[in-house]
Amino acid sequence: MRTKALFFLLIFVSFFPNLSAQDINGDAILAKVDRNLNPESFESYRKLVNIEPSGRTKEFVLYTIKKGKDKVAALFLSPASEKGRSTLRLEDNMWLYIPNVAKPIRITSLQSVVGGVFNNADILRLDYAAEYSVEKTDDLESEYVLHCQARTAVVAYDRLTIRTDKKRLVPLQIDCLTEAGMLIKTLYFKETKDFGGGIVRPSVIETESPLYKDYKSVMIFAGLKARQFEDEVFTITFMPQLDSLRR
Amino acid sequence: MLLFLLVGLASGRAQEYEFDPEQFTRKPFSLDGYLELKPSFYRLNPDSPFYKLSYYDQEPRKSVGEAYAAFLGDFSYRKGVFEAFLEPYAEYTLSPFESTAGIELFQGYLALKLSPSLTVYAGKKTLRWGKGYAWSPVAFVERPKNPSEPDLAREGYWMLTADYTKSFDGPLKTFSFSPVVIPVSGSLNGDLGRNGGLNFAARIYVLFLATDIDLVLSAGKTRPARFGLDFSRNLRSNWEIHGEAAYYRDLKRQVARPDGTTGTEEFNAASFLVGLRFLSAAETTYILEYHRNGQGSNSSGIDAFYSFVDLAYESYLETGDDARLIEAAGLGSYAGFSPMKDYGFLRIMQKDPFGILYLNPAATVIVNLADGSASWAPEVTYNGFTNWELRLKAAVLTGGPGDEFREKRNRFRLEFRLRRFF
Repeated sequence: MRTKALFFLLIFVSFFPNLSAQDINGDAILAKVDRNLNPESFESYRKLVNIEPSGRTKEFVLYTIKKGKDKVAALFLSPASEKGRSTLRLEDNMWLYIPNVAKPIRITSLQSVVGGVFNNADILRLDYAAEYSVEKTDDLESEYVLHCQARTAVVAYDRLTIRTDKKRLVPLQIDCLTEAGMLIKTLYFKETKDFGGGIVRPSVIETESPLYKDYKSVMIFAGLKARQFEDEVFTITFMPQLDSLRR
Repeated sequence: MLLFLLVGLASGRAQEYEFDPEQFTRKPFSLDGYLELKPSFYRLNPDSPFYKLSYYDQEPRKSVGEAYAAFLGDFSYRKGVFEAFLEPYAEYTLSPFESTAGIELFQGYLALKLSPSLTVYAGKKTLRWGKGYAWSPVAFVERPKNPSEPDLAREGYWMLTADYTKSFDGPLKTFSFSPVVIPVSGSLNGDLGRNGGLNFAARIYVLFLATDIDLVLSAGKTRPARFGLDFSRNLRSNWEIHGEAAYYRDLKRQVARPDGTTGTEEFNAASFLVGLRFLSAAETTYILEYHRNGQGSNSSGIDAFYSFVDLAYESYLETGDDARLIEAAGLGSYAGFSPMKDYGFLRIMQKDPFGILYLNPAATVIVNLADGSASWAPEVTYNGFTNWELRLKAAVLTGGPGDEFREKRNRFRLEFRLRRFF
């Protein structure tokens, strides 16, 4: 009996490297990356900084909430010209609410409510695994490279290439590509920070785009913590009231 | 020295990405809004009926410069489940014709936020129903929208209203019900009817199969029944389609007759709108709409009005009696933003052209499809300076004699708008 067990163990060990390579489940890694970036339901504050080639900057501050895989909303707190604007995403549906206009209008993921390199999909990002499936995974020495394909035609980028830190399973760099493989923008994840509650993740995302040569946009995260919300918070009726959720 | 420089660079970099959200802690009181200055130049159309109606007692002019200043404030105070909100609007127009000043309360209400599912509002509030960009036939409880400036804030009505919302899993994601009670008495909501009484309206909103759908109705003592529906849906990540349809019963309006008299017309009307919004790969946004205005006049009706004004003006020149001109000015159905039946709308907006961030050129064309007259309005907006918005806009009105846009008060307008947000 012991000989038989040893025989099977030897077979398993001898095939282990191969099995290891074949068993890398890119979708599982991507799901883990999502959870390491934020809890499934959370609130956070973000500062967006658009940096022009001259060095001039323009800043936006947003309060963001997310629930589950398909609900996310953001409220502009600053500057005054944008204050009170809110955006809502429910699956692939997106709306923008402007206080003076006083009604939510449908927007698309490719538009940008802030100008610059970030578009609405970047600001109202769902879990990567909710929008993309991993077609191929490169297992490098210190990184996984996840080659992702959009699950539907309505997402902003057809393909993503996600360089992932193998040890911490958080992104290092994401290339956003068209179906034909043309680079639209690159996100660089930097400055890992302990947000508390077991959330340790990059606190800064720098973005560059060949479409905006010499421009850069930066997203800085703060106050990221797990929080539960009622589903009704993620409706167009509630968009004018998002500020009431802030404590 | 090198170490000092490196430390300095490192600390400078840390500073660059510093963000303390504490400074954005929610406070019970907030004050926001904007100040606006808008100098304008008009090339006038002294022979047009609307010029005669506006300036019959003034020295005729071919052009005029005006300056406009405005203030819009949003004051709010929150305590627990209560919120008090005030939105005053003040304006001053400096004009060689007549300088005017005014102040209005656009909104002023108390909100009781019982839960994310239920909020009750009492006071003066703006409700914006409909999915159309330039027009909204189902906007039963709001003041008319100017298709040339559809995003401008507008005055609300006094009302009691509530929003009840429920979310679901499955093809029906959201259900929302918004009942509205609008009292009319004297100056309270006076433009909704001369006699006092209560009006009721309601909206049911659903997000069903990724489509926004609203069912709306309105009826009451001072306004006959009207009902409608609208929808909006994304076809792809860069295509949106929307539409509205409304039916109005027992409408009444004062009309000019070809024989130079006026009378009252009673009718039912149906209006609808279909529209598309498209974002190209070059980040150009196109908004295209067709509006069938069932309440609008046909060409013979508007011709009768023009003749009525011409006769009234001739009578004024001969006798100095402006009673007929005042009567003509009271025929409000001809003086609205879109007084006729068939309109097309196209707006093209380019984001960050030539790589210039925050620069947004746009052009808007509104066409009366029956007579081919049109308003052509190019503009360029820049909001690269934090809390400032600069806009230069022109409008050229084209058409033949008797056509709608040819007979407006002016033929050309150039304006510069400066807004400072606070």
